[in-house]
Amino acid sequence: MASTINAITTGAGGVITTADSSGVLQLQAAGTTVATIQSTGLNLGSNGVVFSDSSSQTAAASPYVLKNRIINGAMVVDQRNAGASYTQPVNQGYSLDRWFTTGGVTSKFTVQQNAAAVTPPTGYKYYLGVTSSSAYSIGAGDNYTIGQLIEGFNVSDLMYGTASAQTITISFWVRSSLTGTFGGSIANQLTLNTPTRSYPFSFTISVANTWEQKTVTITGDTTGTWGTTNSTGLCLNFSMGSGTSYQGTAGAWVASNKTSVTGETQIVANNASTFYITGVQLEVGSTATPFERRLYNQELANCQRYYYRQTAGVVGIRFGGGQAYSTVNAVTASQFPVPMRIAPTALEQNGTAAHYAVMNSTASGVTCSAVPIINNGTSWMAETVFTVASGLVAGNATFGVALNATAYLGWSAEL
Amino acid sequence: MIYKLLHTNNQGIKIYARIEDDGKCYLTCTENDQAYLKWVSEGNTPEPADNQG
Repeated sequence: MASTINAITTGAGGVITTADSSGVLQLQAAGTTVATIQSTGLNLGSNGVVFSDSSSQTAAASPYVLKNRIINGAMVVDQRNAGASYTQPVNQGYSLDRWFTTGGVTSKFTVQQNAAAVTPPTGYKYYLGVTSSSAYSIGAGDNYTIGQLIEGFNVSDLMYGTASAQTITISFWVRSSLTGTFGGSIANQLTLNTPTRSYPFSFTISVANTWEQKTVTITGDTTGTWGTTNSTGLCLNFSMGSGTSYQGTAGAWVASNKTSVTGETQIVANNASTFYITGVQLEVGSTATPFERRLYNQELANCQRYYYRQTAGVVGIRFGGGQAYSTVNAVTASQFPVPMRIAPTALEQNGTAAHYAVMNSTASGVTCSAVPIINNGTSWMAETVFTVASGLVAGNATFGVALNATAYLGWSAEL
Repeated sequence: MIYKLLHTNNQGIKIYARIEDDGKCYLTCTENDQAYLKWVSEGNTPEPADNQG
C-alpha cells in the first residue's frame, strides 16, 4: 500500500489524502497514480515527463551529443544550389546537403530549399520542398525518393545485424498538397545502391497544405550486414512514388530493397503536387524527443565531410595555388576545411570552360579551353588540373582563377 | 548522359568526364566514384579518350 495525495475532479475540497506506514507516497490525478515517491527515488511511471510543447520523455535521456543521426535535418545547408531549384536526375543525385534524390527517369520532380516560400513550422527557417513536374505513371521496377545515407561511424552503436540491435525513432515535420498514406523505409546500403535489408514504414498526412509532425518507431534489425565505419551504415528513404517492386508491408523487416508501402500516395503521379519536409531526426529509443539544434557552422562542417564547394562570388578570385607542368596544363592544390569522408571521387564545376583561367608568367589570366578536372586527392586536399590552349611555362607557379562570379569547384565524397 | 575517359592520372587512376544531354561536362570523377560505378554496373560503357596522337 501507500499513502496517497489524490487531486480529485468532482466533489468538494479538491484533494483527498490517505496515509499508511509503507513509506511510499503516491501522487494521483483523479485516482490515477502519476508519480510515486519512495526511498529509492521518484518514479514518474509510464507518462514520464511531459513538456509544454506536449512532447514527453519516458525513459532515461538519449545522449544529447549525437542524438540526431541525421545531418542537415533542419534543411539549413544548401551548398550546391543556394536555394535555387534542383531537377532530379537519373539514378542518384544530391539536392540540399546530404539529401539525395533517386529516380529511373530524370525530371519527374524538383527539389528546392523553401520551395514556394510557405511558412515553415514554428521554430524552423527552412524546409526541403519537392514539387512534381508531371503526372507520371511509375513503372513497377522504378522508384523516386528523397533521403539520406548515414555514415556507418554515426550509427555503429545501433548494433544492427546483432541481437543487441537498438530501437530507433524517426520524427519529422511534413506538409503536402496531397493527403493519405505516404511511405518510406530504412535500409542497409552496401555497394552500388543495392540494399539487402529494408523496413518499409508509413505515415498519414491528414490535412492538405498543413504542417504535421510525424513519428515512426522501428525495432532494430537483428540480421543482415550493416556498415559501421566510413561506408553507408543506414539509408533513410521518403518515397515520392515507388513502383510495385519497391513497395512492401509497413512495419516489418524484409530481405530485399523496399522504399515504400503498398497503397502509398505518390507525389510524382500528380502534376504540381508538393511534399515539404523539415526537422528530420533519427534517434535511439522508442520516443521522439525535441529536435536537436546545431550551430550553423557545426552543421556546415558536418556537411563538408561529404561535399565541399568553393564558389567564386567575385571575378578574379583565386581557387588555389599550383604549378604549370606544360604549356597547356597546370595543377592546383585546394585544402579542405574539414577532413572529407574519403578522398573525393568527383569534382563539379559550372560547365563553362571560359569561366576559369590560369595565371601565366606575366600574371595575366589565360582563359581555360576545358573545364577543370579532378586529379589526385586525399581526405584533406585535392589537386585540380586546369587546361588552356597555350601560353603556360612548365615549372612556373600559378593560380586557378575565376573569370565569372558563378564559377565554382565542388568536391564530392558522398556515400 | 554518358561518361568519357579523359586520361589516367599519375597515380594510375582513370579520370572520366560525365557528359550531360546538353553536351556539357559539369562533373569529372575518378574510376572509384559510386555514381560512375553504378552506371557501369547497369551495363553501360564509357566512351574512349580522344586520340592524343
